[in-house]
Amino acid sequence: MSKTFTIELPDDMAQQLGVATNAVEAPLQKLILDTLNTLSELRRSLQNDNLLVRASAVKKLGELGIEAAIPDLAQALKDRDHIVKAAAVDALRKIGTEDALSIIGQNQHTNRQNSTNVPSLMSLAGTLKIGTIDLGENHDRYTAEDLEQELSDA
Amino acid sequence: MPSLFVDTSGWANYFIPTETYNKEAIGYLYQAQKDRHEIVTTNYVIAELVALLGSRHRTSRQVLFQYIDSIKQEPQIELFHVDSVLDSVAWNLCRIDQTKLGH
Repeated sequence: MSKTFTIELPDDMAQQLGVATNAVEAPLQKLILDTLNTLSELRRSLQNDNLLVRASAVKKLGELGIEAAIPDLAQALKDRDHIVKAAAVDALRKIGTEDALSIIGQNQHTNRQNSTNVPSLMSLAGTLKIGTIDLGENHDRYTAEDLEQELSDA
Repeated sequence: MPSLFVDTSGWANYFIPTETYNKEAIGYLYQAQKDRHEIVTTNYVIAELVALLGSRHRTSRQVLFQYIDSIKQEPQIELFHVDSVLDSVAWNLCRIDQTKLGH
């Protein structure tokens, strides 16, 4: 026994999803349904307890490149884990629309307001007193020596 | 718009007063900020800076994080995250340069 169901889609659904019509080769409705299904799955993954699952879902939302994912990514910016937050910034940047970039800007502004205890870059110029004179010039050598030291200690 | 790229040595010289080019590094960054030029660095540079300043307890982690956070939170700094695409582009550029050097 087979079941038939009908989904009514708005005429401007492609526009709402931000689908580039010249990139569409498959029938539009199939593309939209596939996209909606993917969106739905990724939204479920965003609620997963495993941060890697959430981060992966965020990355895939960015790869979809559609504006419909923006609200979910905006929510992911408030995730409890910084890896998911960073992935959300990358994903929004990948979508790249004015709305997506604006949300990144607002988020950075909020983060800065919440981090008023961090001194400014200008105020920290020339203040790190560790008594070296060539750390900058010979950083490759120092890094290599430190690495060797760590390995020999291990 | 002109931009200023800051590598690991640049940041070390900027923060550490006894480093050879401390005054020059501060001067370049000050001028770039004053002229509203973009200041560019990468996550690789930040990782190397953490290793350089933090190893052998040169700097306590608490102090170190303040310096790194000051870079991350500076609005004029564009912090590029080197991903696989950017890495491929850089590697290709590197190979092209090497070919030119070979001739």
